Amino acid sequence: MASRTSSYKVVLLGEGRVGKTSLVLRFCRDTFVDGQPPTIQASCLERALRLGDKTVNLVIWDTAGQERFHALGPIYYRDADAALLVYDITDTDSFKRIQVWVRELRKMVGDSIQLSIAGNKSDLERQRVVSRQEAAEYADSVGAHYAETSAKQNRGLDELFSSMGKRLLASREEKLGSPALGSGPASTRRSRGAAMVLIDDEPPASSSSSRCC
Amino acid sequence: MRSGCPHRQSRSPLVSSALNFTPVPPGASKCPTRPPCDNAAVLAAPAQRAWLRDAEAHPERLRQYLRRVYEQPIGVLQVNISQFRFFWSAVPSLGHDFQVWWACFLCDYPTGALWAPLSDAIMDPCTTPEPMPFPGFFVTRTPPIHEDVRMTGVPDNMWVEIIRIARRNDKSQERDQCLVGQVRLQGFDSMQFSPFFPKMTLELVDCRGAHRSDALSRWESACPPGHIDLRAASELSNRTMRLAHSALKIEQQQRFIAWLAGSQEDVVLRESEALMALLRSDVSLRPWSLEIAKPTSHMADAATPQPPTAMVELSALVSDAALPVGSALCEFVDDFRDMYGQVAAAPAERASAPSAVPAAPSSSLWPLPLPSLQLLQQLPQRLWWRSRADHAPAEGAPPPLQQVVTRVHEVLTALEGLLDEHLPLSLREDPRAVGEGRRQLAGQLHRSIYAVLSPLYAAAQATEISALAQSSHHMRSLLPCDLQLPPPLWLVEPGDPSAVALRDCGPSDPRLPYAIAVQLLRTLTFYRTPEEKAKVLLEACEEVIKCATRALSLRAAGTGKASKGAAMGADDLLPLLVYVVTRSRVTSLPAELAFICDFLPAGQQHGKEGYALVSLQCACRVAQDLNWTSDSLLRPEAMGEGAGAAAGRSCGAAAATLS
Repeated sequence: MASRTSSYKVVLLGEGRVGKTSLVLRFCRDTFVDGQPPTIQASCLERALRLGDKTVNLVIWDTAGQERFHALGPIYYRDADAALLVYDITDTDSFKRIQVWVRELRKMVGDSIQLSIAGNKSDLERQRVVSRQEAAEYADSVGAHYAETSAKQNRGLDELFSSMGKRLLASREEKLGSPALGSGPASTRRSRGAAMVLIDDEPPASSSSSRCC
Repeated sequence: MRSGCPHRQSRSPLVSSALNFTPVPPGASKCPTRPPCDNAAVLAAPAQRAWLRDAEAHPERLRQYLRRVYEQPIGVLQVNISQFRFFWSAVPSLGHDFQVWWACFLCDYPTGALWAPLSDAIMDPCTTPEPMPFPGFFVTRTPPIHEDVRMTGVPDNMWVEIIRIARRNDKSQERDQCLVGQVRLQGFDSMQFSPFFPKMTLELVDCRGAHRSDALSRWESACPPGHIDLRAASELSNRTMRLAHSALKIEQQQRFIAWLAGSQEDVVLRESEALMALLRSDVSLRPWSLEIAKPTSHMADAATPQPPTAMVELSALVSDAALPVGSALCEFVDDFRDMYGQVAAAPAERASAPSAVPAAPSSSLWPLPLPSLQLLQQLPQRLWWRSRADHAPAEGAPPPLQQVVTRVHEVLTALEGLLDEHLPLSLREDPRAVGEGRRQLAGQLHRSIYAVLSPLYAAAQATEISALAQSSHHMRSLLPCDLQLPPPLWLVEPGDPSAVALRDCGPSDPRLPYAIAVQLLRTLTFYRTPEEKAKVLLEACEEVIKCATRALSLRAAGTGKASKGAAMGADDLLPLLVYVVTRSRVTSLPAELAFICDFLPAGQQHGKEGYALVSLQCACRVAQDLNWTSDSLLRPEAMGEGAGAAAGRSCGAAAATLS
């Protein structure tokens, strides 16, 4: 089973205009070999990562950053295996927004979701307002991986995603060790019963328990 | 009109008491096989213009009248004159006589023309120009229907305006039942009315396409917007429709209608008498009624008694292994094996020796035809009808949707297990065969139980459906340029003169920005399986992106900047989807999305289909509480414009909407 490609859902969160879309586009486009263009474009992209002898397939779901859509986050990150939180190092508000997301994710989804925080636009070092140290400390405190990226100059992206892939694999192997049989990537883990929970703005707390196989 | 037609005889007294119309004699027409119709006379008729001006200049008077007609308390009824296409003749305070042009479906009527539909659907005014009584007329505010409609009938996804004559709300009594000839169908946008009208539904009974061999099935998959209940209006109409459909030629059909008109005289007379009696006792009774739907779908009509009590019983029956479902499944598996075997046999044999995995059949052969699972299909139907007969509608009991859904999942899992067991070994090892078998099995199951599930979902989502219907109505003039979006994605600039016209467009109008996506989304209700529905959602999203990307790259080319891969993320996609949802007016969307969410296979939930589903769920939520006055999704300057447009530009006052 380990040799098989496993697919993970990664949800991309962050305020509007922090560069979520270009970040993921840069990551997925550069090595996007097959001729057919992605049909829903930057909104839902797939990219396969080779990590040693294993292949990890990341399905990256973009979300709308506008405040108006904030309450609808749970619809998106339901069943997500990882979340990539993007902020703009030149914008304190976007960093604060990340912290809101993290709190919400931990509350709604629990610890089963792998968090990565990306400080984007690292090419604009001169306009930086969120210090690297502050962000890294925050990431540590919430158990997230931190990286600074520049979608423009294609910096830090591979490291960010391969670290995410590794941690996804590791957490999955951890789960495989547990007696539960149904574990695996979300696509197989989701039981039919769980799939029918109607999503509300405030999903019931029990929805998180169904994720721990 | 034939002289013996009972409709006219019975209605004449009612109408003559109101007003007399003199139809404009037919002039030049584009109808190839018919005498010409002339619109010029209509357009030039000063009385009509005066009346229209009058009505629009004094919306309050018209509103008062309508309020009386519909017996609505003040404040509940919201009338928007600018969207109001149908005018009653008997506006007491105005009291004009008009020349009205009797329009048939085959006639053209320019924007602004007044026309009255015939009181009998099958009658053609071009050939029967004599005066006929009718209580009101329409003002054409939409562009003419495309010419092809004449040949093909109303195409899929087109909205229709339906006028029902002399019917009241209660259809339980014979005298209230509708005759075929009482229904007129026009290819116009449905009337704009407040969603608060109680107990009203639209019924579509259409004879024009009845000579087509596929007429019955075609109408089922065509036409009905969310709020139009597509069904024959009564037993009589059912029978009529069946007979009419069986008549192969129009001539036969017309003879049949004539016969019908002659034979149903007693029914019509009784109806007429009852109306007259009521009229004498209650002056406020409307002698003619145009039924207006609450813009909720037939799926969602909360007033319709639901037979949910039998649903648990149903699922128990389906999942009961002792019942014939097991043997039905065996049939299914046999069929599937035969079909798959035929297709797969040759390549599988060839490839079996060197490799353990049998070669998949060439992809051009997929998808395979569906094997029959007839017993399974019949089972819920039988139960459905039985439950309607046996059970009184549950009073206040919430439909046991969750149990049913769980049960359906259990049934599906059980069926899949059985399928695996019954498949021959060679097929069982082919993941593609197993996948295809499961897919088809799930499709069969869903097709057979959709009629049971969809009302349950509609009931469960009634609040959302109602909210969306209200909001879609309120925001019906929304354009992308009202949204906080990069200007290239607007497609139409807010100051553009065409934007003004576009605000009043119906959802089928091809000039709307992102029209294809809107129309695609409107096909959602025509599919029964979650996979098909999810595909529609994905296609709609793709269409939005395709459109937007083209606009972005055009803009990039125009400004001379090198295209750095004009790409759209969710930041732009979601607001556009909100627009598409609002404009498409698929008010049952919340129920549809919940259904897809529950039953879309897990693999697809994770992929693009899942993303499209989630995006539309999001857009649908936002669309439900979108409003003109304060919404961070709208541009501040657009709030005034759009709200003004919604409130009725032709009245010249934004105050036309009562609150």
